[in-house]
Amino acid sequence: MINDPTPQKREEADLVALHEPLLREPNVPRDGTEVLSPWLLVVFLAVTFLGAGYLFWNSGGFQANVFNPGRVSWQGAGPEGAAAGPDPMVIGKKVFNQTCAVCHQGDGQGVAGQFPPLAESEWVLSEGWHGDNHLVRIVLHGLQGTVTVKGQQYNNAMAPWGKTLKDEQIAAVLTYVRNEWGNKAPPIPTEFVAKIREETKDRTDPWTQKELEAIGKELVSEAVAAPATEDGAPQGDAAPAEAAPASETAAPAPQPEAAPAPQQ
Amino acid sequence: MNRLPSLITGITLAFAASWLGVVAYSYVELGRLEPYVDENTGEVSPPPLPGLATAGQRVYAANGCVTCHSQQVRPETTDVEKQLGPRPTVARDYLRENPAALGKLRIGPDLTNVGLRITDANELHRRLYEPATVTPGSNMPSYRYLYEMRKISGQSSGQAVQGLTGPHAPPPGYEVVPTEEARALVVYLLSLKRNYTLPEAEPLQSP
Amino acid sequence: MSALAAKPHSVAPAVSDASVRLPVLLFFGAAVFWLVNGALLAFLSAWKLVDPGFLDGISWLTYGRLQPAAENALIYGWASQAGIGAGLWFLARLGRTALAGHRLLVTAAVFWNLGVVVGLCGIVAGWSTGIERMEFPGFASAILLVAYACIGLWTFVLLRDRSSSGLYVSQWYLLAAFLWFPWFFATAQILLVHHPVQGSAQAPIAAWFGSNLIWLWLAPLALAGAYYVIPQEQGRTIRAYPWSLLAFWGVAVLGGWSGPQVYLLGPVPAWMVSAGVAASILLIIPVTLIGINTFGTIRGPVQGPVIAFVGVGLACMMGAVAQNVLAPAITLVTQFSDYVTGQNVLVVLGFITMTLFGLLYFIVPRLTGEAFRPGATGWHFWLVTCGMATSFLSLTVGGLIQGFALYDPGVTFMTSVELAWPFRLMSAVGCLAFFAGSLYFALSFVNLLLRKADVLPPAKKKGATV
Ligand code: HEC
Ligand code: HEC
Repeated sequence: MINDPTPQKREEADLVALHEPLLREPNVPRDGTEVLSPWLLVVFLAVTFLGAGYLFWNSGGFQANVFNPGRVSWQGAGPEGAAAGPDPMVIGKKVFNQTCAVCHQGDGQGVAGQFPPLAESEWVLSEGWHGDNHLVRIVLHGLQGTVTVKGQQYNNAMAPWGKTLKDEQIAAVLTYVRNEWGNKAPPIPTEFVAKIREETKDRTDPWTQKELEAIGKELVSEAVAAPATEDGAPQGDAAPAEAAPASETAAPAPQPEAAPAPQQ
Repeated sequence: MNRLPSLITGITLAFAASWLGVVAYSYVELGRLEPYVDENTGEVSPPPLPGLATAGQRVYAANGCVTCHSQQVRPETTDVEKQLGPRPTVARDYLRENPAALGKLRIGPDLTNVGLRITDANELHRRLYEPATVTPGSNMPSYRYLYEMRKISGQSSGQAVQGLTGPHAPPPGYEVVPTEEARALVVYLLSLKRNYTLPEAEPLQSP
Repeated sequence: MSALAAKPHSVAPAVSDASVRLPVLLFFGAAVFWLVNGALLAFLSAWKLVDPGFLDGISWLTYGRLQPAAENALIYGWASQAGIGAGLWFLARLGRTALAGHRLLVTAAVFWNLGVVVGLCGIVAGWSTGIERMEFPGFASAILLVAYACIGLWTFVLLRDRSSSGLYVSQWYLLAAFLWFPWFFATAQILLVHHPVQGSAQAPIAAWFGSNLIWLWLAPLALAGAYYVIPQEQGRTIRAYPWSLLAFWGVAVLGGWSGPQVYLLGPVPAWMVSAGVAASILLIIPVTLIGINTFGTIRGPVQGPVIAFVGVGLACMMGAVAQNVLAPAITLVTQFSDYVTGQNVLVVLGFITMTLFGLLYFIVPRLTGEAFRPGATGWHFWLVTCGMATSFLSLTVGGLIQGFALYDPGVTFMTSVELAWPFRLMSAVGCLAFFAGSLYFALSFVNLLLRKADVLPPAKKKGATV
């Protein structure tokens, strides 16, 4: 009916009228209601799965702040990891440069005879009798009197920082000094600083080496196994044996290996 | 039977889904992002732009730099290795950009961090004035029209572009002075640095 | 023959044609004008990449202004207007109805072109917004939107006053396109140009706009036409008609989501990009259905330019969707390379433009009662098809090579420029051929109108029997 080659003379088909019945009686076999091959439906199904699968595996947890679907978050801590605080090494470096570097120097080497070094210091790395709890106490309340660091004697005074710095800042700066200039030691979590602050809240004077030596050595990895917040009682002596291995995973702080050193 | 109303409803709903999912979502989740303020140092990221840089963004848009230059550094690619920046970009990096010139092509190199690579304003002026003399074979257009060639009368202007060679270099006794637009553009280019950290961004890396 | 559908108030095709003749021809004429200009600008900007010294150092001819001017001239000047004109005609024909008056539409056409002129001058004069395909300065876009309001109103009136109760798939597409366009255009203009949102939110909105412009505006206009002309030319009903409606919903739902995939690994939330990729993958389904329905109806020998053009256009559409599906697999190499430009050529010059050419070859003779000169179409067809294909293929191949160079850390940037050069040259040659073909078409279009000069003054007795 519409095969007349001269277009302007040709009467046109009423496409609405022609196609309307095809919708109403789709089962009548005729041109226009052709049933699609079942293979095609299989292909469509596969395409649907492909699309849905792609979205599912690359959704970044449907978070507005995840931009790399390959890694749910750069800290590898699951979707919530993206909301985790900024890198303690970065904060720590800033705090260090602002508060500690005047005395201990930017390279952590201190000043001979006046300010002891932090690089490779047994105090910082919690070697021998030194514990993480001592380290936090020094920063909270300061240190005075004769001290021995790397075999050298110092007799000077370090000011307390507990009033100026918040728990997370102390945790960050200690994490930083423990992992800079060749140092390597587990990070200090904020909770640990909070715990020590609570234990020593009545203390006002700076510590002396003697006093510290008298306090038992405590390490982060042991302390966080059973948080003090449970019942307010500081623990340490009776940490259940089976809780100890769990402490590795329970530690909320990122592993220093996962937090590359900042570059400026 | 009139199916027009139901058809219109369907058409509207189909569209509303992506309108809500992409536009409204972006407006709410990304459009209200705030700069990240470091509690310890008070440092603001991304840092505020100098006023002239905001004008420079408009010059950048008006002259179509975005048709050749992208401004995005991708993770999981060689972008960081190729020194396009110390870390992949995230939405908050564009907080102060208007328009956000992400671009789709790299006919020219990515400019996300050009302010880290080129720190000298005169160097940028030279590149804009006559790119092919700075990089032989460059197909970047010359933006001579953003500069004025002036006769030096007495004291030479302190703003004149130094070290121009090539066919459009000023003859003796003349100097090339950037217009307000060129200066704004260069201030903007110098401000393109993503060397700060953000909580949602990957840490800074050196290439 | 249409006793079935002929309701008492339905009007004869000649009457409905007469009622829309002037506005439709006005849209077509302007569209062809912008086609030629856009193609010329596209060639000039492609040539500038090859020979940067060409027309160098002139502000209004700089690459960064010429290239957006070409894109916008082709999209808003040519494709949109050709699509609007064709849409109006199809709506009148399918509804067996006539426009009550065409003064408003003629005014709208004039305003739309005013918007395009102002917009292009704005870009060239240095007021470009710098946002892809929205480079027109804000006031020009506002003019477009005002002009559009009149056009959209009339399309709705044409649909409402149709004489048959049913709706053919072309009418679905047209209704949808005419509803979507003002919505996404206004949304994007307001949020990106007039009251810009913060930069961090702009990228997804711009990407959304970009895919809508194709899938929710130009593609529906082109597809509506394809669904009309193919059964008419071939003398058959659509092969599997119910599926064409399913395909419609597929395009409607997926089109808007597919945009953000251009920012794969970019600073856009990962889920949104992945949703874009997923939508592009799923688009295979409706596009396959469209392909089956259109090519399945075409089947058999092809005569005349209409089906030839529409066939090439639809083939390009399927190619473009296939490319999108490949995207996540090869994007590390292709992203930011000329490959992306090639994709754009395939969609805008291949799919949209070729299909629209076919529609014009179908409509214009019926509207004017005058045929295109025989033989005129051959040159046009081969020049534009080969030009488009050359440009697309060379950009695709060159883009892959350039992309590998851009990706390889051991290769300098300038090497990528050198590697891309011969392919950009080929692409520019393709653009030149495309321009020549477009010019040829414009001449034969003008020739046809001159032969039928009496169609231009509107029939005084336009008052159709409504
Ligand atoms: C006013 C200078 C000064 C500042 C500021 C200062 N310290 Fe000290 N620090 C000292 C001195 C002096 C000693 C040794 C105390 C003594 O001799 O009794 C010391 C000792 C230490 C020790 C134990 C010895 C060692 O070298 O390992 C640590 C750990 C330490 N400081 C860490 C810090 C940290 C962390 C900060 C920044 C929050 C800081 N200090 C800020 C002066 C300072
Ligand atoms: C036609 C494409 C094109 C346009 C438009 C363009 N450029 Fe370029 N641009 C290039 C190419 C190619 C290079 C690399 C070669 C070179 O250094 O000249 C480049 C290099 C640059 C560089 C040096 C980057 C680096 O890291 O070495 C800067 C800065 C620059 N362009 C700025 C701009 C600005 C600003 C504009 C807009 C006013 C602009 N470009 C417009 C193509 C372009």
